[in-house]
Amino acid sequence: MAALAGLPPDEKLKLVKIEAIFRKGTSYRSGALLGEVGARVALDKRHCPRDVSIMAFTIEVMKSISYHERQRLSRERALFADSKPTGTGSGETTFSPSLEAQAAWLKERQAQSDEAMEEIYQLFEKDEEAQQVIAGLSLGLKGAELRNETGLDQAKLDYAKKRIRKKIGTRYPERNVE
Amino acid sequence: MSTARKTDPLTELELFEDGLVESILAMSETELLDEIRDAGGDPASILREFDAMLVAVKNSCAIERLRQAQESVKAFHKRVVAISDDERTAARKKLDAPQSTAGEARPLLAARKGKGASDRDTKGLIDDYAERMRLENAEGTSDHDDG
Repeated sequence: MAALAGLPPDEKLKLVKIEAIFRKGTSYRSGALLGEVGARVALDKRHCPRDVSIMAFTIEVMKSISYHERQRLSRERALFADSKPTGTGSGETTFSPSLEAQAAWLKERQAQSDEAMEEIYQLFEKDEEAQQVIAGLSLGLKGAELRNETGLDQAKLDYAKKRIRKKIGTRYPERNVE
Repeated sequence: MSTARKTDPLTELELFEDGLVESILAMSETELLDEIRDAGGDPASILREFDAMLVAVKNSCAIERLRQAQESVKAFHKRVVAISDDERTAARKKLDAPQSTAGEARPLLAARKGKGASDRDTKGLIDDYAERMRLENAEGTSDHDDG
């Protein structure tokens, strides 16, 4: 916690921008995901290894929390929609996920991700360069590979990334689950 | 564009987000501040909110840790069984026994500031001794059971 508080201002600002990316598709409000990381550290649920920077650690924990939260939400939607209530005889009702329900959950996750990617592409409908960069990034390309794949030089690539960050920064978190 | 989209949308989205994160990490301070201001944000106010959030989390975690400690103490006390009067009497008898030995030191009733042991010391000693006797008896019973 002290390490987070002691970060230089520009790194704190970067974490806030990165948090906005990982909040998408979750129920976390602005600041809540970073707060969750701080709480897990303070309550000794997560430890930053000595050889890992606090920035890298915080980003990884945010990513992990976001992943599990998105997974939980889609599982709830898919399983509860598909499961049939089972009486236990004691008056309780449980929901047991069938294999079909689990497959439905995976399908739901994939459909949501697909929808999210479609929305991202739509944001840049008239910006072909940005679309090329998005496609490259979603293939995991970096540096020279990304330049070769998109056919953009470094200056154009940086400018396209800036446009993507700007639009994503204002539109992306809107996809939070209410 | 030659890039074909991957078939797994989960991986695709994850890689795209990783790429975005890397591009944010690579930003210069000037670029970062300009981008925040261009989007209508105030870097100083964002930083104040960030620090305030950390303080709030720290405080709520301190309360949570205190609550956990209190729960642990309660759980510990539940496990401790009080010493009964019979056990105390038996311990007292055993402790008093060496007194009859004339001339021998009474190591259990240690002098306290030269004035001898207080009642509280003696009671504590008796309770400790009674607990020890209880443990010894329990061990004896369990040895007997095992054998």
